[in-house]
Amino acid sequence: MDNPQHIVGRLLRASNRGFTFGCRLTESDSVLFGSLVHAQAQAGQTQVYGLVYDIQVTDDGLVRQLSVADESLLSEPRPDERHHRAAPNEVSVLTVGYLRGDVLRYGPAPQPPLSLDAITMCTPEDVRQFAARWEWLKLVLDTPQVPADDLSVAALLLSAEARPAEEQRPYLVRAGRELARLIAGDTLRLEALLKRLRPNYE
Amino acid sequence: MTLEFNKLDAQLSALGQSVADETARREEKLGRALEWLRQAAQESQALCGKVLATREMELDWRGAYPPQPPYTDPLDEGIDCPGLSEQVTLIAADGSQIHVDQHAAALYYLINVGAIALRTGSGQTPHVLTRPELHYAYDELHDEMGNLIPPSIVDARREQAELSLLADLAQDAQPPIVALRDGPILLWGYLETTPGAQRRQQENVEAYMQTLGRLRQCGAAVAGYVDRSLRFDVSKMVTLSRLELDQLKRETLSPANDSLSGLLDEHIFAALLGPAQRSARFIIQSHVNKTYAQYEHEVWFFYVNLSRQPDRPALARVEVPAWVARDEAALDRLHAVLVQQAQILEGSPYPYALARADELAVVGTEEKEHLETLMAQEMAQRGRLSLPSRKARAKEHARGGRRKHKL
Repeated sequence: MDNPQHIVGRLLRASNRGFTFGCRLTESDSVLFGSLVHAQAQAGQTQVYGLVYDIQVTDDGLVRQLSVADESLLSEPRPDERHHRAAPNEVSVLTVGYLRGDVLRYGPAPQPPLSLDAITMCTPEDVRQFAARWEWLKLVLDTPQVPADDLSVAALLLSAEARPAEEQRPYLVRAGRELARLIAGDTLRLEALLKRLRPNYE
Repeated sequence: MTLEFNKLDAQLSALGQSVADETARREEKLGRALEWLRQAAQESQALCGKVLATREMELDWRGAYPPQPPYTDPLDEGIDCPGLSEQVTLIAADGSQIHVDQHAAALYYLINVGAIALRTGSGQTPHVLTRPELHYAYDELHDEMGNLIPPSIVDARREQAELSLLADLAQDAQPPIVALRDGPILLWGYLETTPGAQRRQQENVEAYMQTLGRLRQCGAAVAGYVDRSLRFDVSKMVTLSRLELDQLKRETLSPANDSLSGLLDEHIFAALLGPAQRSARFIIQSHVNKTYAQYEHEVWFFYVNLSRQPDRPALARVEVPAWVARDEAALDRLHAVLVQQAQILEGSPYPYALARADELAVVGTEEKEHLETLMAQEMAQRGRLSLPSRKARAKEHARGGRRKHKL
């Protein structure tokens, strides 16, 4: 059952490889690039997991006009735009796995969620469980339609943050080893990814 | 696409030349008009005497005239915009419609009114609202003779709906209140012209005046905002000011004898008003405004330059009931709010709230199609299959676009 407190949006469109949901973005929102979200599918029999890889804030002619207005004039147009006009913001998600019964599998979902299904943020426990294995990482790196390297780094860092402080560095070290195994043939790419994982823990 | 643009080349060229020629003639008329306006400003009592004479002699002269003191402003000067030192509840409404179409799958018309209410300077999220109304009853779609009502009737009903929404929102709004609609306050459309319409005309007048009365009771400064007005009431006033009393005859007052014919009020005030300034207040002399006056809602107007750039005026005509025009504080507030709102969209000065109201009200082609799909579903569920006319379907086939073959 979806916890209303964690619902971040509702589904707009989907395939078994990914989906896009609409939400009202706020500055204090928990929807981040690399976040793990989930939605129910197949009448609740399946929990589909996905990584946020694109968050769109669109514009139109009116917003472009407002963007050059005096700051003092924007006290009402700004919330009007964010609350009424820009909604829904569109967030795109790459499906990386699904839970059916007690079995967690990594890969495209057997069926996507349906229109207006609730999209929920995964709890830290969900993230720890999902990211305990690495199959999802290969799926991300092998998907050309997403910013694979950026998404991998963001998801790994968020997965580490979901762990107790003393477990975070060891987790990222293991992640680094897995990356080395997966893209050993591309040393430049590997080096760049490892450097991006490293700074937080030096 | 069947418009053969090559056949329009010469006509387009002639259009361009015609506009250039008219602009040159207008510049000459403008010089004269400004000079005469300055003279009329020195002799405003004499001007009012001439306007009164046209009324007494029943010459059917329609134009503008300045109000009596203490509401008289300098006719030939701009009035600076006051500061907006208080928070104001601004409510703006606009409407759109789908007219009755005998070729549609069902006979109906739709009125959609949108409104936004915001508290200036508060930082609060504005309140937005739409009110769609679907009309399909026989009596709503037909006149007393059984004919389908023309688009002008639907437009008039839409205007009434806009004003009603303004009044509804003003009821619970925190004062002071400015209520804006896109378009004039002085409406002609409520005077329905269908056969046997006298009874309905009176009902329409009563309803509209009642709504203006509700706005007055709320203390709302209601105004009609007209962008790119084509009115020439002040231009006609300037022409009148040049005539002596014994020259006032129908012939001399006819458009054919008006040496300023074609010169719009906006041309005059674009030259006269500096950035953010408004013009003097004027009253419209017309039969329709007489009716408004009977209900104590006589319509006055002024022009305002919403631009901040001295060399690029952006004029709007603002119509207000007399009870707003005579309230100096309300008038100042209205002036200041309009200028502030237009500065938000400075690239093309137009009140932000009205732009949003229009956005909320507009019904696009896709939405119309979706609405008619939903109607068809409702009818089908009740065993009624209804299609657009054969003519409409044939048009759709011919205009539906072409497809390429793909393997």
